[in-house]
Amino acid sequence: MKNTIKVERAIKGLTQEQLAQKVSVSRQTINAIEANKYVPSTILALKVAKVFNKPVEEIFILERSD
Amino acid sequence: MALIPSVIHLAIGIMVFFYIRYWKKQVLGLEWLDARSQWDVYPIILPIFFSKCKIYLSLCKAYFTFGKRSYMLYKALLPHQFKRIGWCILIPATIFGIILIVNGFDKWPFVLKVFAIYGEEIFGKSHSFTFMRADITNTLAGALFIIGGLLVGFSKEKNEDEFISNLRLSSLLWAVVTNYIVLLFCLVFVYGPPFLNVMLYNMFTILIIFIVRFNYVLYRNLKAIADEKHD
Repeated sequence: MKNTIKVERAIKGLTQEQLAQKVSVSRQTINAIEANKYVPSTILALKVAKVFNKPVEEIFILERSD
Repeated sequence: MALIPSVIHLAIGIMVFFYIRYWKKQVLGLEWLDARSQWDVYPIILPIFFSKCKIYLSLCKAYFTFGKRSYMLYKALLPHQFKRIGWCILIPATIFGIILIVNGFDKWPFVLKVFAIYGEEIFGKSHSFTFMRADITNTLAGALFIIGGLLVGFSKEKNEDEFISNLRLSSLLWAVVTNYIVLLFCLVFVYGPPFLNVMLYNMFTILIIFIVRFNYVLYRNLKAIADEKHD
């Protein structure tokens, strides 16, 4: 699964730290998700989508290998 | 908490086991599972066996109850402050343990009257559910190490969330697998009295490997953030 969090963050002008605070997780978590090292739980994915005001599918995209 | 009933079952099972052992030895004057008395113990063993089945079942129940809400695991950990207390116990216990290993385990005997569920004196009689005199230096070092290790390993991080909880669980898996691979290696290639040392160290290695691995992974992630200053 890939994601567009980094791009969305740039559009909104948010740092990793700010996004982390908005969804109440640590900065490590956002960093690991952006680096594709960690797949967030459904709850966290929905929270992130809510921050960016977009449907979840536009931020988290399935890949062929999934 | 589904874990509490299974712990109680386990405790009762152990007590029943030792009570019957004591009863057979003291009242009937028979050794446990003596060849002559193998057949008459079955009426006693079967209920124990079934009570043990019950323990396994309740352990399974505890596992599945936790398994279903595994994402909630990080809420079942100790508060963050316990981590500091844990380090304060773990580090002195480790130093004390190393001193004991270097100087021999019976250099500073600290004999005290202790309660024993089961104990045997060297060249002496055995005790169950009584007070007996024993050297508790090694017990003390081991117990402090385990308590400290549990506090350090199972307290929340300052910013515990699902990712860190995930790291914790994967470190635990890694620790158990590594520990048993090392143990298997030692089991196959170490023979005779030195194997007692393997068993001694093996009591603590899961905790040690878990704590080292978990903190290493955390450190690596913090470093990944530090390297990426420009967001």
